[in-house]
Amino acid sequence: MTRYSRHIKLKGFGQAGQEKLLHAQVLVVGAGGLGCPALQYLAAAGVGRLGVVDPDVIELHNLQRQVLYTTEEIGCPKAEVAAAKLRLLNPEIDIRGEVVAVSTENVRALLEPYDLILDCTDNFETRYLLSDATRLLDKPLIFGAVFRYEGQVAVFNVRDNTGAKTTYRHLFPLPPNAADAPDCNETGVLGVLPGIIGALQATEAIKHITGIGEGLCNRLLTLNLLDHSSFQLEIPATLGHEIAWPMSWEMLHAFDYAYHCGRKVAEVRGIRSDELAHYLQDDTVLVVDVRNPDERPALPFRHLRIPLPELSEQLDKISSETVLFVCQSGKRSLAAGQLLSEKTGEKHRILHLEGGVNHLTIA
Amino acid sequence: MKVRVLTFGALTEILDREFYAEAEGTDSLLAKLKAGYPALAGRKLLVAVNSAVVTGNVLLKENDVVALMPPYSGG
Repeated sequence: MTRYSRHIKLKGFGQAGQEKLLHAQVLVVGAGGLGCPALQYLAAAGVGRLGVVDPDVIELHNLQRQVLYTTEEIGCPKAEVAAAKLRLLNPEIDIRGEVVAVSTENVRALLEPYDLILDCTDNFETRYLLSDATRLLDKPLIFGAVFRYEGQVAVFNVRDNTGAKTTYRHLFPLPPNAADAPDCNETGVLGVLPGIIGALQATEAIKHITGIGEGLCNRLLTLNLLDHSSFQLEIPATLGHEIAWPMSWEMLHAFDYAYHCGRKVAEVRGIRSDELAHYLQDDTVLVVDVRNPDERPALPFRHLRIPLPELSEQLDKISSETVLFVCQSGKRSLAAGQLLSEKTGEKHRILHLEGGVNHLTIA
Repeated sequence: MKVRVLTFGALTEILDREFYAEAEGTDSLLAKLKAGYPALAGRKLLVAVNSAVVTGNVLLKENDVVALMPPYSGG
């Protein structure tokens, strides 16, 4: 217990508090600006089982604030790199990384093994999905979000001493139009801001698990780093909203969060290696190899090479209606398809080669 | 009633961060602001009176503090 001795010595925390952390099971959704510091502090604190879910790969413009990653790791999946780093930080806990986007299909299975969830995501679709799913599961959700120099933290689905609990939909019953709530990609964000807000989310998680202090249950804290002003709002559970949340798992599964949040995106369809020849005959299909330039074997057919980390800056090179992404194993090609879909909506028909080059017979 | 209005996030690009306004209730305050600032039209925002989130029209008293906050999504 030398590792946790400074917790154990801490008045009001002690061995009992540490034991609670060691038995806790926490899932961090999103391993970006908020997720990185939250994960580091939760792993260091000895949370017994720590999960991290993120579908994205590390990009150069992430490194200004996503402090778990290095320049060498550009192009690698965040959830895998984060899990590996956290295991080095604390090999005594169970760390599980999943390179997957949270969806209506998988959200229940992803969240069920954990008893507390951190919303460290960067988009409204996942925020509303997590809010609705944690409400159905009756699991605490620690919300964090940032905008330029301002950040917010709240604790949802936890009863206060009057028995009342609230969700994100008590603040905003319906999502805004995408144009009204631009993300960090569009507006920029001070790099240290998600560091502070993510660390506050970890703080609220540790307080909730160990039962110390007063959490931000049914309260929204907003901080402004420019002048250190802070503002706390009470969220009454008895608001007169007609809240249109899914009342059951069946309703949640049928809920179209992309549409609900004003975004219609193209589906990324996987094709099998035996279907590839069919698409190669069609010269309106643009094949894009998203592997790094040094990866072999080279594709023996017409294609464009745009390594995944450079894709978002080179989207203008993708002019054809149908795009087929290829990589080594099928992972990065799927991520490339999702990226294109996110950036261009329904403009392209997007395909990716399942199993990647590994499943092709190339002489 | 003269009330103090605080704005947050992207709303500070449209409105001052802090200002005073005359209004009988939250609905008339919002209507007045939307009339003066068309960029507010259709915006989702939460309204809080004296640091508590409210829904529907809430009558305002002299010196009440009204906060207007848009959702933040960055992470």
